[in-house]
Amino acid sequence: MGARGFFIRRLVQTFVLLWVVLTLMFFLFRMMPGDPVSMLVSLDLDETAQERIRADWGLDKPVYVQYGRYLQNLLQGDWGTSFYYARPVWESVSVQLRNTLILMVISVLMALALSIPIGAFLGWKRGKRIERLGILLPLAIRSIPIFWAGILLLMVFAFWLKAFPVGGMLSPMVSQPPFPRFLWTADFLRHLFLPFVCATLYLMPEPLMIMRTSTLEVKGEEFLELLKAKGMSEAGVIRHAARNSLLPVISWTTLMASFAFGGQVLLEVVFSWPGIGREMVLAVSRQDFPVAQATFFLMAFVVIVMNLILDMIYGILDPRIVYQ
Amino acid sequence: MESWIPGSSISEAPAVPATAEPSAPRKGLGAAVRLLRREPAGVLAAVLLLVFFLFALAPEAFVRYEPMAYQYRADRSLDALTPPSSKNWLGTTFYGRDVFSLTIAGSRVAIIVGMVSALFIIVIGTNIGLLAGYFGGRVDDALMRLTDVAFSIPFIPFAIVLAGLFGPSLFNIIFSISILMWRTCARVIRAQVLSLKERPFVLAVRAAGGSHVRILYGHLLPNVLPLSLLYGAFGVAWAVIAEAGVSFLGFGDPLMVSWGQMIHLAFVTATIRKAWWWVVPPGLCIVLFVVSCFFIGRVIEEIVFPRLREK
Repeated sequence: MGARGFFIRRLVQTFVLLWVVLTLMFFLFRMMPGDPVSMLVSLDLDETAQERIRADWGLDKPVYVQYGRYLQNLLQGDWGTSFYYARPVWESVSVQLRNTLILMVISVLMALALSIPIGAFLGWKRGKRIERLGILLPLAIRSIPIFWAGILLLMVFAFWLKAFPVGGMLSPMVSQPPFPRFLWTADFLRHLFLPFVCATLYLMPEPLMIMRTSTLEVKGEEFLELLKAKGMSEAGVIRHAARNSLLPVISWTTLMASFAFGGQVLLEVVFSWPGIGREMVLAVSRQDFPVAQATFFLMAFVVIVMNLILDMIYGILDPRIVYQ
Repeated sequence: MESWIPGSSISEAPAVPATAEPSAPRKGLGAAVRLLRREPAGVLAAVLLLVFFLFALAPEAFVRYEPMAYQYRADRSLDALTPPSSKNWLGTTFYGRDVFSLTIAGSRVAIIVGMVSALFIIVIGTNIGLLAGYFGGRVDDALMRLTDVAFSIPFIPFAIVLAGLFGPSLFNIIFSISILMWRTCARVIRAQVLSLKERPFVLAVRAAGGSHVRILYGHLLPNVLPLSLLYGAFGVAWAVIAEAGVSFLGFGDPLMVSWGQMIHLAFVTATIRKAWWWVVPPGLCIVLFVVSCFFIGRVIEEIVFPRLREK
């Protein structure tokens, strides 16, 4: 099978996966105990009024009709109306998705930028004391609940030292420049710092350990001996080894997205970051199901699409995968 | 969260050495004891877990107050948010409860969630891995796509939605952990079975007319069981961290004291500014509990893959 076959198959798989998640969500939200009408109106209303609302929302139709409509609306970008804000869901959620991605993307990039060299270094120094100490670091990070780490950072740096704001993304009550430009304001960077540090640390252990293992495997290869024989410095040799051990890290990054969202939700709550994770927690506690559903779907959507993109990159970087 | 094994030398499914000798686990208790002696961290972890287990079994034996009881000062006013003292070793909460008693009592939820979820992770993950690896073809395809679905659903959001729809309860938390987190275990077991099923001992059973069930559960299962146990140990750790996260967000069982829920209450009453004694002990317990599970996992790993030890 050629490269094109591989890409087409992955694309089809992605659509199937999205459809499965959508369907699961539909049934999950409909399995909810109780009558959805009671969520919309008080049950003091008389029977005919209740019936009318039921018909307005299409709840009198059989399940398969509701399911068809649900898919149709989602595909047309109609995500429903928030029970809480009484506004279209997409309006608020799209801004929050952007805020979430801002924090997530820079943390993921930073985590990779830090963990790849550290992992390569530890793999290279296998068996030395520094390596034994070094591999305890990811163990320690992975054992600390991220929300607790966030609270401790807040306690020390925001409440005690007063060096950083206690939450949010931008100071309220001050006029801020619009979207791409506020990213460079000092105010934004100060708000970003603590959640960014927390998220970066949280995302580092896996790429670090995978990089270490794969450097270990590359270490014995002959081309490295040749470089050494040519008189290249140790740092140079490590760099060549690292480039050859990067592939497993990239394949792991596909899992990173799903994993990142779990931590992201917790961090957004701790640092009051106005993203979809925090919105989802608020929506669920407000019983605002259209918003809860939209935020949940968006997270799964981002995960699935990122997987597709990374798989394609992987296929380009390592053609052996494609032709298997 | 579960794609990688902290502190371990194996990181991804394909890295599991196919040469793990089936005879390794049969060395039995003596080897385990010797290993523990060589691994002081493992011993410490085992002792810590035992202590948590005792706390969970009989919290009232270790505390001076009923965890949910209100504490009063001499003038009969509610003793809320007082720093650690000789009366309340770890201070009191916003609601006037004794933090030390709550922390000890919180072990119970951790132990229940950890053990029950780990059991489900092992049972579901091992079975799916066995069936997919052994039968291959369409069965493998279907089960691995199912695993892909499990991998594409972010855990915390899923648990929140479940708690929101069906009410926050211990059962719902265990259910959401169990229904998603078998995914890593399944992949690793499948990879192992793929290599095992071509070994002479399996081929011999098949040639002798052994049924699928007999090969799967009589011959393959005993060989992957140590690996399942390894994932069980990590499963306990993931489950405890996951429960803490969900409870922190306010979707924990409202009827039971848990560490995550203690931090949740400190957070929503906006007392983290001051009451460090309410925030630090439960968090530290989570860290100690999870680190212990990881170290136990490491010891199991060294029994399962003795080759790593010699490197």
